[in-house]
Amino acid sequence: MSKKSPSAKSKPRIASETASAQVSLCLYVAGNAPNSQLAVSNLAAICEEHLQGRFQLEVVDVLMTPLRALADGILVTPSLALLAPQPAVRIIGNLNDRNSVLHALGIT
Amino acid sequence: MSHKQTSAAGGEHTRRSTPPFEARILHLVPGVRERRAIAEGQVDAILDPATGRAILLPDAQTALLALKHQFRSLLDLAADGDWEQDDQHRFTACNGTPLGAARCADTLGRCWWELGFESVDPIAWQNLRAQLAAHAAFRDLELHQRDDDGTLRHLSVSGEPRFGADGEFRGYHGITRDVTARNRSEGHATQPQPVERATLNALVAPVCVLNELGIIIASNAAWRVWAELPGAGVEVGSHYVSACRAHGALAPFDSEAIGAGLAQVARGERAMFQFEHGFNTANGPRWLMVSASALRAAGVAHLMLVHEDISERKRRSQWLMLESTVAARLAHAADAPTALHAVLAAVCEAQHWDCGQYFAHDAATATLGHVAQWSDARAAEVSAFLAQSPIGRFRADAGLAGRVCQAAQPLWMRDAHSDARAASALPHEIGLRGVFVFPVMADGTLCGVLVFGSRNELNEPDECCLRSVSNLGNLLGHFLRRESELTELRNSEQRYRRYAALGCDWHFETDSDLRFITTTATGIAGVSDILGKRLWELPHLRVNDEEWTRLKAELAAQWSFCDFACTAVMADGREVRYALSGEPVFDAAGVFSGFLGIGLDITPRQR
Repeated sequence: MSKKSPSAKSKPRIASETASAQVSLCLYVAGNAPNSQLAVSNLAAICEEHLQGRFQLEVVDVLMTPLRALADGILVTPSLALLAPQPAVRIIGNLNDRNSVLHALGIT
Repeated sequence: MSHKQTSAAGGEHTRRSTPPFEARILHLVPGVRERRAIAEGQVDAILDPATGRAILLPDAQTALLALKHQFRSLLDLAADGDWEQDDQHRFTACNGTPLGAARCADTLGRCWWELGFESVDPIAWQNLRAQLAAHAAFRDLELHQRDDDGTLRHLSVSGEPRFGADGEFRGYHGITRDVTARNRSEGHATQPQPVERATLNALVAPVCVLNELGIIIASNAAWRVWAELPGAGVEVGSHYVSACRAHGALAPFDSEAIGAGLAQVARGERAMFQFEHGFNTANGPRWLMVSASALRAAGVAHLMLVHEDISERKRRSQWLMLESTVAARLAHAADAPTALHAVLAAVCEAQHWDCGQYFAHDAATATLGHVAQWSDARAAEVSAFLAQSPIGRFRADAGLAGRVCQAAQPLWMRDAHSDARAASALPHEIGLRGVFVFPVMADGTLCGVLVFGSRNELNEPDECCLRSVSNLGNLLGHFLRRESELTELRNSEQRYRRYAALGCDWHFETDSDLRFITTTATGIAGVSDILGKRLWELPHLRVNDEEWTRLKAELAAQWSFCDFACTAVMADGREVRYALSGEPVFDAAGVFSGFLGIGLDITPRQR
């Protein structure tokens, strides 16, 4: 199950902020591993349904660029990082629990 | 075959404990959220900050576990156990068949050579140590251990070194196979057929057949009799060399030498190996001649081993050698005391006896007199006792020597401490136990008695021993008799010379060429002026030509001459008249060897 980052807990996101602003996301995956594929498809569905062209998504394959992930403080994959708007949020897992993901991103 | 995982650090692993693989992964992920995601199976990979690499989960884990399971299955098929050692060659893990112990746990922390395996070929141990020191792999090392019920179990172990990523030696790991059944079946397969077995059993000498590993796979009846002797214990199914050593039949050095020799024959480097092996028994020393030759059956090298008891031959040889030594020492002895001392020393040294004494027999007084003694310098108490003992004469029927003197037969006591005959005849305080006394004879006449003592028990003398002591007594007796006769002869000659000196002024001897070879008493001139010259070559003799001619003719005819008168001019110018007489001397073959003669100063008579 995905959880909110501590920063998200300390400062709850206002839903309207993400709903109207440009969203910058980075998804860290491990090649075609099952959970990574699931995370990609789950995130794609969320973006299509809730963000509709207001997002910028970067997918980082840790098998290809592990040092990039380590530099971003990522220890496990799949991990989704919300880079903007602030505060930054990090969600770990295959994003199957859509409600939790939307809540963490401040979409609902 | 089931396996029970045991480790040195943590004992047996259970399902409740965290497997090492997961433990390692969780160690890399300290965060609670990450750990929970991993636990829920939502994580594909983790990143190792130490190496900067991504580790795939859970496919990797699944694959790894599958591989591990597959490896274990194959290991179960190929071996009966596996093991690991650290870089000090101490066992850190042992699964399946225990090594050198009832339980695997008892193996942990020990090295190969601390496990108390039975019947390890010394050469194999040396090879293993060399391989371990070189961090080399080893294959099919055969070891033997006994189960709790005493069954001998044959294990074959193979191992290879482990190295870390940095190339550092981490220890060994390997497998164990129980080859007991295989060895037995091979043994049964190579059992001789009835005719061959009957032939084998018909052989008088103990014979056994070894396989290429040095294990006895067949034996004959004589071997089985020998194997049942106390201390032998080398039976079918045993590793020959190791079992011999374990049962004390072979000293360590001998076992190594025999093991090396057998290996050479097995490798075809020599056709036959023979080794003379001596060992002590309660009945004295014995000797075996171990002979090994190669057999090839069904393309497999075997060894036929024969044990020949050569004790009797060896003892006979030693006695003959002693007789030869004594004869040589007698031949080189200048006189009787020297000879007696040499003979006593030779006998004591050869028989490992501590002291010996010789008592001469005097038939006229019916007494025995102490003449000579010898003692081993290492036996300090015995030497001191002999040095302080009074040297004298005693009745020829007293004591042990007296008994031998009366019977003219050898006498021995295995242990004088428990022999009534030695109650008052031996100084027990110096620890002498074994006693051997035998007569010294010459042509049936008793010359004396030899008495030997030992601080060890004496072995029962066999026929060969008694024959040899009889020969030794005769050798010494004849020597002493001859020495006695020679002494008598020398005394007689001395007396004759004294008489001759009283009857003449000098006497002389010449060789067959009539040259002076000896001259005694006061002569015609100095000895140096005479020796090597003929009578007529002496410059200071005055004789007329006619007399010389007559004398020369008599000498040439090897006739006696009497009162040949001549005048000698002394250094002071004084003239002395001599009358010379002589007679020819012939040797035993009748060959003329010179003249023997005397000279008389007749100057006063002529005046």
